[in-house]
Amino acid sequence: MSSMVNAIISFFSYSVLAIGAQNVIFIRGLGLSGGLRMINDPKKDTMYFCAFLTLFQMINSLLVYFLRPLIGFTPFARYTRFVTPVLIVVCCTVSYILVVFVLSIAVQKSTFKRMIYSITSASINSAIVGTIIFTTTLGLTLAETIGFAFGSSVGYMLAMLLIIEGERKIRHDLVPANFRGLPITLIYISVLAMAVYALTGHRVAL
Amino acid sequence: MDRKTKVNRELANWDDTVRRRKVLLSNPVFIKGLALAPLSVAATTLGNSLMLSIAVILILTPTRVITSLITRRMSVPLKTFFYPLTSAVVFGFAYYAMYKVFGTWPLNMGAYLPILVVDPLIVKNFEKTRKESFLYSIINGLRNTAGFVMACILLGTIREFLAYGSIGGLSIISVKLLPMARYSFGGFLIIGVMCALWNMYVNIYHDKLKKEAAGYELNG
Repeated sequence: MSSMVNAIISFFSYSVLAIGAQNVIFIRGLGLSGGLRMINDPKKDTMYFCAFLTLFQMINSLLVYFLRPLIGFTPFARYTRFVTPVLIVVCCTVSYILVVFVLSIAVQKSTFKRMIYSITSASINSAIVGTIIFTTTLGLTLAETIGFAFGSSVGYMLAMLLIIEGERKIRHDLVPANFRGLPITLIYISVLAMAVYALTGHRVAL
Repeated sequence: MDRKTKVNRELANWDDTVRRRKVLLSNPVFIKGLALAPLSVAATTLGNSLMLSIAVILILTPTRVITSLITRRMSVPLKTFFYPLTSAVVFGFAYYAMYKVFGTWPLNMGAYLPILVVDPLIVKNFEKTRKESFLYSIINGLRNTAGFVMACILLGTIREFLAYGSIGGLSIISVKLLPMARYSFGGFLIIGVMCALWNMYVNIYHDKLKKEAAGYELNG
């Protein structure tokens, strides 16, 4: 019973840690290039993207958590650190095929067509890979891994919502010409990141 | 080709001129906003920037060349995974070679070297439906690499100077001008300002070409 309670506490602690102190965008900078490209891409739906990012993050974190120790039984055992990115990409591919297969059966064709573009870009990006490498390097337990993966995805979604809202509110006519677009967005993200840092007060774990 | 013809040609095909000049006019970092994660968090010193640059030199062009040869008939979803898989395999060898040469330094960069395998800088090409020739993949790969390396070294040098008062570990001044430059939010801020300066350079260059072309027109 107490181990169950401990697991639940670990899950929530690591979720909160990943949403705030180790926020995937503001503190760890992961998935920022892809996120900024998504904002300017009319074909990608932010909510679909973030929902599928959460799903893929959870599936891939679990797959890598269980499969990575198996590298120890292969000829690559000495090179686990160097082979891990390949394993992560393979897991991302498997989870993508699974999700697309299930959705192609479960949802209407028109909805599936709307989703597929967001699914493809959400299935593999630096937010997912960076988070998985972080959890494997730290040797987190199963509950901590799930909590951190979930918190990272929620943190990513909250950060993207703040960035999109900021983009909408910026009065570009008042911004100097050379600062319009990417520069002002990065400066805005910097201010938000500084606020998150001020709340938590410690440096990013490499 | 004389200067007048060159200027007119560059202006007439401005988009093409920008695309070909990856280092200055279409820099992958300061204009396109690629590889922001490793640059904003890990490129805090000249040494770290060198590590990132070496990793990109070893991964970008080989990945691009291999994928250009194999993915010609692949659909975009298939390419989405084949590109990162290729870059992950290439990265595995590059990472090991870097570990053998530089010791634990590359490993100390944590997730910020391995995430290069899925960074849009390395893999964004899969979104293109146009087929890339072998020669073009080498040329474009080298251009992108040069653009990234220049931006990365510049950024690392500036951040180290502002955050620690040193360059490449050598103390220049005893005052730390902007200690926040070592953090991710400092990275975002400095990259943002560098992007604005880069935009200014591109606009000035474009205006200069326009004035030069107008001058040639006036003088016949």
